Amino acid sequence: MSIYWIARNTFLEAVRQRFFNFLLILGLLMTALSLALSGFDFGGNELKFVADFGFGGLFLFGSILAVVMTVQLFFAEIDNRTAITLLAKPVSRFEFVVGKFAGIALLLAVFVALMALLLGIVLALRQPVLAAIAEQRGSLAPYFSLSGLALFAVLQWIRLLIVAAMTFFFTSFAQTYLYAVVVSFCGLLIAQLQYVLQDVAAGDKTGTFAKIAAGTIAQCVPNLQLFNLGPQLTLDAAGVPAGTVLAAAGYGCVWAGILIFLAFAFFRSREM
Amino acid sequence: MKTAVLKISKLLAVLAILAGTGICLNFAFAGDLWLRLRSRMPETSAASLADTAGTGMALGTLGGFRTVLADIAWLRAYSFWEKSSLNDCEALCALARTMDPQNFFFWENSINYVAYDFPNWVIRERGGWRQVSEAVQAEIHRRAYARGLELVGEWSQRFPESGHVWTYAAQMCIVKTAVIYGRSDFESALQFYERAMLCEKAPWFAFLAYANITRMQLPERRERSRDFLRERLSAAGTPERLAVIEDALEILSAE
Amino acid sequence: MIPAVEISHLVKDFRIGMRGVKLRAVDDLSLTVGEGEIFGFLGPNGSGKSTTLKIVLGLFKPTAGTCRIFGRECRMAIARSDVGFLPEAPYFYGYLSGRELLRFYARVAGVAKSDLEAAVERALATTGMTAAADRRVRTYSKGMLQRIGVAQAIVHNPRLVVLDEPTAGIDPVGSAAIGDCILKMKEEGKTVIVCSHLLGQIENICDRVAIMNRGKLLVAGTLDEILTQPGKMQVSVGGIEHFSDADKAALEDFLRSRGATLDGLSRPRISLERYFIDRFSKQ
Repeated sequence: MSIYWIARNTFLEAVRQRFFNFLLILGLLMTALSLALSGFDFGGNELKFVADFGFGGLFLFGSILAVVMTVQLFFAEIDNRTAITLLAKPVSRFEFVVGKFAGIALLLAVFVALMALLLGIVLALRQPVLAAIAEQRGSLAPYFSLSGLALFAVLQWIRLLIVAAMTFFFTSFAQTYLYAVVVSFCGLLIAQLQYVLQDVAAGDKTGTFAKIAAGTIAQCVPNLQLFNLGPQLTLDAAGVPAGTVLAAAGYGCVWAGILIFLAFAFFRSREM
Repeated sequence: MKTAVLKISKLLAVLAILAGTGICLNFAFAGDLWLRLRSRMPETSAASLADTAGTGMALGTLGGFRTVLADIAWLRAYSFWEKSSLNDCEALCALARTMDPQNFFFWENSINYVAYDFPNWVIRERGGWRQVSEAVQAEIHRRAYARGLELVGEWSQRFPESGHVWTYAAQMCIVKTAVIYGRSDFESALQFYERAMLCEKAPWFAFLAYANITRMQLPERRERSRDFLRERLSAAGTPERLAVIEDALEILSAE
Repeated sequence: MIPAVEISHLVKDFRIGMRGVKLRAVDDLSLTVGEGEIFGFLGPNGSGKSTTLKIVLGLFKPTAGTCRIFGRECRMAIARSDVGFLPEAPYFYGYLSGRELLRFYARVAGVAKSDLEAAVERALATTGMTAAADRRVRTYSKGMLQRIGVAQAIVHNPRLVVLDEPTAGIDPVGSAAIGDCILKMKEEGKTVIVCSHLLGQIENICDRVAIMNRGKLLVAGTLDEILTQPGKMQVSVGGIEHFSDADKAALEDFLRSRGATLDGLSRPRISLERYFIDRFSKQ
């Protein structure tokens, strides 16, 4: 039960902070601004533009939220020593870490859900209009799937969970707020570029040492590009096989779990 | 000394856990998924990224927000198109294509700009079609057509299964060769239609256009075209496509 | 009877820097706190008091030795179900109201939903925070923070309460109120460990004290055992304003006949703290 109360408290603390509201508004604005694209004659491709803005806003602001709020909600507890008061209660370090992560997971779920909801509304409104225009021009009507968007939202939530878990990991041994934030953003960048490291490791023209280094780092870092299934899930009638979606979800959940486990392992021996 | 050894052991243990997780997950989950997605990612060589303007853009490209940045680049290119600003429009179109190479729309419209709009802007800049000699105009259009064909080649590598790329090339060939040489190169156009018909996703009109152009423009080629269409019958796949090929053969047979 | 806290040969070393230079913060400490007593834990800054308390509360891992709370190993989370802790210079979640804060800590400490409101109201009443309970914690003054800190330490009715500098930065009236809280806890049968630099307060409320310096226990025992000067008596005389020289000489003769000497003669005074409290608590 302590996990539930800590998670609830963490979520409450986050939503009462202006930073969360600020990022949410920015994300929603970015999606809403894409409505201005109706002034351009992009035909059916307008739907992809709108979706790109929505997906991009979701990942950009979601990533910032995942990193900054995790540091704020986890590291600040250690720094301000509110963690001492809490850990002096019959709360184990495991419950503390898991409870904190659960609260942040809930926060990210709310953020993703709201962003996806607005994006879904915008796409659902524009799709029939663009379909009518396409019919007049004798071209193919643009395709949009709400269920695909919902699946994509779940995958993005899992991707953000990985980012949050990675931040937990770095924060568990960080000594300053700045270190935790900077290193976490670097970790995010490396995870986004993991496929570049894979390419370097597999390249013919790369030196042996660079290959080994790139290959090792590539294996140690989750590949966040695996979650870029937005256009296929949402705008492609062919969709994505269920097995593929489950594989991406499974990949993400395991990575998040391992990173949280490592965060707990470091935090367990941290003296406050 | 003992503390340093302990810290290094801890670090190695963490790296081992992370590497083990990565290897197991890549093997169990991510293999097929990544193969599916990799083809959609932009090239990561230094040469391809050299074209992108500015380090910030490169970082943004690699930072995973590339599709949004590509869209923004395209919107910017569109604004330069409205002002007939060739260099800026071309650069931003190239940037959009580099950052989001799987966007069909970017390719199609970039080639439209390059093949049809840019040569007319150049001619207008040099004094207009009344002032510029026909030979110079033809050369400008020839270079635009060559550049368009280069882009079609790159486009087809991104979308190897799409027949639309080659039907587009065929239409471009008909229009541009007419402008450059005074008459359309229908033979080359038919070769583009043949490439389109060989694609898995060949548009139906490719078959009909192929038959009509052969019948009306290159009647001496009728037998060759008929043989080609007959070969396509066995690979029709669906009854609808079979019917389209048969219609095309019928067109070829008509006088 | 199982002691509230039992520390046996406790050692805590900190390793500093990459070269791991050893700093011994607690050096072979053995100590027992009986159930139901108010125990003062004293020592100069850096003596190891806070480190010892953090080991007791499971926040630090001891290098050697054992520590038990009511017979349970202190590192176990379950051992802390009977403990309430007020840290030094406490910091709480500013976005919560006082009542919400206590509800949260009570639930985390395992207080049942049916007992929750009663427990929270009791803790608020004990610490005099009922009026400010619905304000956000970030609006509290220092004294109010200390009091809400005491409230969260007792909300789940623990058997052992550990207070680290409970009156630091508090005015004497507030400090006396916290002292009264502590005495009330004793009446309820709780064991209280108080860590403080305000020796006057410790002297007034503690049953036993321990004094540490540089990680070692210097002395432990009741205040009488530690503070009483052997071979001396103190007498307080009422109903007299002035001692003449003749009176003084007669007194010295009497004492000399008993084999004693007169060390000093002065008018008794109340402490400045007592004066302050009596003066300002009436306002």
